[in-house]
Amino acid sequence: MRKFLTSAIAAGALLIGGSAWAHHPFAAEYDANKAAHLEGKVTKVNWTNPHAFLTVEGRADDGKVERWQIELGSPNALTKHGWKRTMVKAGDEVTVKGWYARDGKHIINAEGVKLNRTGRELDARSSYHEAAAN
Amino acid sequence: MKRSHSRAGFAAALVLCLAAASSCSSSKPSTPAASPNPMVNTTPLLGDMKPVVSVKELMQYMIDPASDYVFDSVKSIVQPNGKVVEVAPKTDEDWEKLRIGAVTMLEGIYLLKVQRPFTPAGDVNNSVGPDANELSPTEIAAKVQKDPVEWNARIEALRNVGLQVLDIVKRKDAKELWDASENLDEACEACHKSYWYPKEDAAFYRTLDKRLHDAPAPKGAFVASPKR
Repeated sequence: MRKFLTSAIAAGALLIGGSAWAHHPFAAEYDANKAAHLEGKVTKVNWTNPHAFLTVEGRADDGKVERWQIELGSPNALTKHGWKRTMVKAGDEVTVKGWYARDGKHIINAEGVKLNRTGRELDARSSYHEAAAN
Repeated sequence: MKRSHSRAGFAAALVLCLAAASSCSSSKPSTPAASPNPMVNTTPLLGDMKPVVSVKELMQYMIDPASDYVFDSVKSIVQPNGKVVEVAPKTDEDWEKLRIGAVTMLEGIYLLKVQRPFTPAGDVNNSVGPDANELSPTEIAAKVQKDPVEWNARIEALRNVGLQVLDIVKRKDAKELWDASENLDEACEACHKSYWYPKEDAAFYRTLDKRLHDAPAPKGAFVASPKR
């Protein structure tokens, strides 16, 4: 099974607002002790720099459907590793693995995204992967 | 865009303030040598440069917001209804906004050559404690002092991206903004990984990777969406 790796940097502010930096350490934003697993439906895809984002609505433990922002790598990095802009569409069911935000915000730093209808696993391709490959 | 516009306006104002502060603080400005091209700086500074903020604040309040002009200039949004909205500069106003970001970033980045504290007083970054993964300001300063050539090279690398963006603005070639944004991301990250969070290296991420794959099936508090 293809291994996924996760991202070093975050840019939640691009979608969520606020004053977060485009670049900052992984550990400043995400909790390395909180492995994330989310299944839900994609409602929006943002191909933006320095990170692309998916908006996914998934059912949480309390039974309530909640909206999550899924941070991916940059559009160019994703494209170089097999993603196409129309590959993940609104309405697609996906499974996301990654790391939860430290502050409890509904943001996940994705290591990988699986398209449930095809079973295809997509590498989230953030800068993390480049670091790990060195 | 409104947020970005106001932030860039602030950043531009900060550049002016810094320039004014520098000019006013100079008690004995040196006489510049004649240069055939006023854009070519072949002389020392006209006066002292006195920093107002730390490196961290300069990044937070000037460089980072300026970079958002570039990052936000092109995007592709797949809407919930499936419609794909492509965003790119189209009007003269759009291109002028991008120019504001490029110029602010271009000129602002050289302010990192003015020696200043790396963080505000009392801020030691995330350099202590069990999850410390950032260098302290003291460690960063030592690293820069040891090899100022690298510091300057990182600055020039970012500046080159700014020049690239400025060139794109002149040619109004929106397609190239995707590559410029990628270059900008890489320049930022390369510097941050060297000076800010070098501990987040390959080994760090391999550890995370293993931890994630060794994790049991989702359950408990961290299960965002149980399998249906």
